[in-house]
Amino acid sequence: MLELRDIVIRYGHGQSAVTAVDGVSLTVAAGSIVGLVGESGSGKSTLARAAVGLAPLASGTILWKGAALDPRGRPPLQYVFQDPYASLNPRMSVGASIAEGLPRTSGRRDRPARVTELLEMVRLDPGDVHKRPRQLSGGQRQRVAIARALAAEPEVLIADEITSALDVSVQGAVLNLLKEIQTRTGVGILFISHNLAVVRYMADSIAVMKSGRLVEHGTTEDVIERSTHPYTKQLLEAVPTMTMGSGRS
Amino acid sequence: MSRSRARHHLSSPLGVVTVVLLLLLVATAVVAPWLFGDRATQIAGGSLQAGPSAAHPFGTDALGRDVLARTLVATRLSLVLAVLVVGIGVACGLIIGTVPVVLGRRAGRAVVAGLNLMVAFPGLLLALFLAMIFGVGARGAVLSMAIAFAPSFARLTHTTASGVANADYVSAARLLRVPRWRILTRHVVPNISEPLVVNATSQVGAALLSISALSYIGFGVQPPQYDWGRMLADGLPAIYTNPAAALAPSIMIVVAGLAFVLAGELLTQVLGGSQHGHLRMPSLRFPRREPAPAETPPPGDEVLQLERLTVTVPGETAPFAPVVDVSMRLRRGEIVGLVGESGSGKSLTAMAAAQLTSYPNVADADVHRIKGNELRRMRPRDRERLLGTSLAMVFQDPMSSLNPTLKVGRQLAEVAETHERLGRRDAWRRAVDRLSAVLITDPEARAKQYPMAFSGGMRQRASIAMGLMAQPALIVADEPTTALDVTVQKEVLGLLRRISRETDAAVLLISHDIAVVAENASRVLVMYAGRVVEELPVSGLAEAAHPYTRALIASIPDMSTDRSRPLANIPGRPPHASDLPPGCAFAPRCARADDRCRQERPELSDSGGAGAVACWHPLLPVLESEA
Repeated sequence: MLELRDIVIRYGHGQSAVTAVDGVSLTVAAGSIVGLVGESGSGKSTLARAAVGLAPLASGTILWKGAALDPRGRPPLQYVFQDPYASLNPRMSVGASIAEGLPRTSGRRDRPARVTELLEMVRLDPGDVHKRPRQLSGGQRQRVAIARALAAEPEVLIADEITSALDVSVQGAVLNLLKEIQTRTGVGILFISHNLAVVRYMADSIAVMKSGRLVEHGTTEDVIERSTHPYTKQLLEAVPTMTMGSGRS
Repeated sequence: MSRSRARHHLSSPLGVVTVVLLLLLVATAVVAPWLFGDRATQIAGGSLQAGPSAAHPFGTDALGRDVLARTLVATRLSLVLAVLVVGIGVACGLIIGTVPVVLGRRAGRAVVAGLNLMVAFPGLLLALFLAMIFGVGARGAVLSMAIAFAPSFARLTHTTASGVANADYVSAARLLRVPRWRILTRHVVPNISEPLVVNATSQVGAALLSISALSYIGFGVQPPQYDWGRMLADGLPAIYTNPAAALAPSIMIVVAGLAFVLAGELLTQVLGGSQHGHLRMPSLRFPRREPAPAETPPPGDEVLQLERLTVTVPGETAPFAPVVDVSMRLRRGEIVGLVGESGSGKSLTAMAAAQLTSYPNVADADVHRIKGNELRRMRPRDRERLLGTSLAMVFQDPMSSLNPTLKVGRQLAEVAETHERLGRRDAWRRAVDRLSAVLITDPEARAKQYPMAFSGGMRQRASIAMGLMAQPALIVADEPTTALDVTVQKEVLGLLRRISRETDAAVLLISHDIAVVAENASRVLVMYAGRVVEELPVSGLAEAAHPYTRALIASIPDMSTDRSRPLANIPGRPPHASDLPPGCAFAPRCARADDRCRQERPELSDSGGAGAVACWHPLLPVLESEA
């Protein structure tokens, strides 16, 4: 399992330094989905990027099964980026992108079969293997990005706002897929979103971040129904609902 | 797509000229030494430095050899040297420019620092210095020019490469532990190749010039070898007696240099630098419809009346219309929501409603009235005045309407100064007043600040305040809260509602989020693939008649969604406006669609209740007993 302990992340030097993440501890157990909510600038993406080494730590430790991560070995963590229009190399075919994730120990001959298997897992037509990203819709691209991350057989997947660049009508399909994969493979997921309704649907437990600090952390039920922190309550109230015309007097 | 684009560019006048010139040059370089090789070295007795004659069109040189033949034969050496310079320079530049991406942080910085030093050193000086070291001759000239050219190319490579190196897909490859050299060859280099190829091509022309210059001053090609620069040096002393001998190589240098610069230009266009070059523009005349006669005087409280609005945009093969036949009416104090997914045409509709469509997009409507005035029957000056005083626009990104170099209060004041000719002090006072109206605390002090000092929510409120500087009758808000956090979103939407209530302004609220519209509007227009497919009061959303509206509502998870069941979603993807199916555009994604839906497009018609729907098989309202 993934354990983040007292993580501090700072940007800049000297007096102008900004503390993006301030002493956050968070654990993602195998087979669970941990939701991380917060508004822009709350540090939730920075924390996630630090977990995979894309942002430098000022202090704190990242533990994998109780030991430090080996920077050279096969990474147990993978990351799915927010914008599927930027996270796929426009010059590489879908198949080549996914194959890049496959462990290098896997035989050269098995690779096409594994790619097909992964495409089927994310509900894409295996015939799409030669397509370029620009021939795919946003939802399809995000599936390719998920397949690429899964190819590396991670034990924890970090999903950073993976549906916020997508239309609502396809958001559901991508979220269903992620949940289904989680049940099937038992991969742990750190699910980051600004949308509390989406996090509530996806996660077993929820962590709420504000201004770089963790303000509340508990099971989804506890956080949604018995939230203790005023900021969580404020977030809950702000979720738009389809109770028509309730906002007007 | 790119093949047809390439053909389009190659058949343009620029393309034809470039290709013909290049082909001629290459053919000459290949063939001339065979055909004229002997003539070029043959020493004709008696006619040293002769002027043009039938036998020698450009005369002869100091040893009596034919200048024309020599010029043509010299093409090969001149071009080969120029290409070699660029080839070696590009190879060095690529290595120096991409290595920092692969190296660790510290080593990378050292390379970049060295590179900066090299770029700062004047190229020609460097070349001359190196030519001294390498010694005179063609090899020395090529090496010195190549090394002088490498730093600027390395700089270009480094700049483009470091942009790509920060891309998400490179981060993803790093996380997958893709080896560094592989990241370089598969991710970085392919994605920077276009600007580099373009640059290298036009640099061949420059290299040709430089090599000729080196040969001319005696550092380059040495006799008995000769290139154009060498010939120029030989011909120039006799310029007064036989100008043709210097003219022939000069013409070739100019023509060849031009050919490569043009080739670079052409490549830029073919590879996608110019967007407009290959698109078919909508005609300004063809769709223009006559404004409908003003027979029906609009009711006094109608702020916006739009009938059959169509927006045409440029397309690859032909112009197409992402907005077709959209009609709407907004009354005073009314908030109307316009909902649609990306590409549905909602933002183009908003821009057209505010008369902000600009060429190459063309908007056209049968009726476009604001406060009862048909815009197209007005003089441009009156129209601008009407729009300036009665219409306010709120954009998704408030920074697009705020000038970062002007104080917020000044920008707001300007509106009143321009449109109402208010004095500077009165305008400022009103700006402060409007800032306080949008609940900005300490408006006096805030007005003196620049937009950068404002938070996202405050900027959006300031841009709303700017709209309120006049007394707008209509506020067009295009995704006003999409870039904002949920807690701030609530405030900004509440503010719009309050303004509408207090000033009786109509609001056209555009959003991709039907929940946002449901919470704030009284009436909703649902757009799909450029058309309004349903219009209904917000209270009727739960019983929406169009399957798309229902599916859209169902696909939004809220705080009561059943967590044990899969989320609802709409299979497939919206069609592109340039490639619409013949029937209902939603049919391919609709569970209720039949053959009729696939062949015949349903028109918007009365849905029985208070709304209208464009569907052959509308859903019936949920009956009381079922609910």
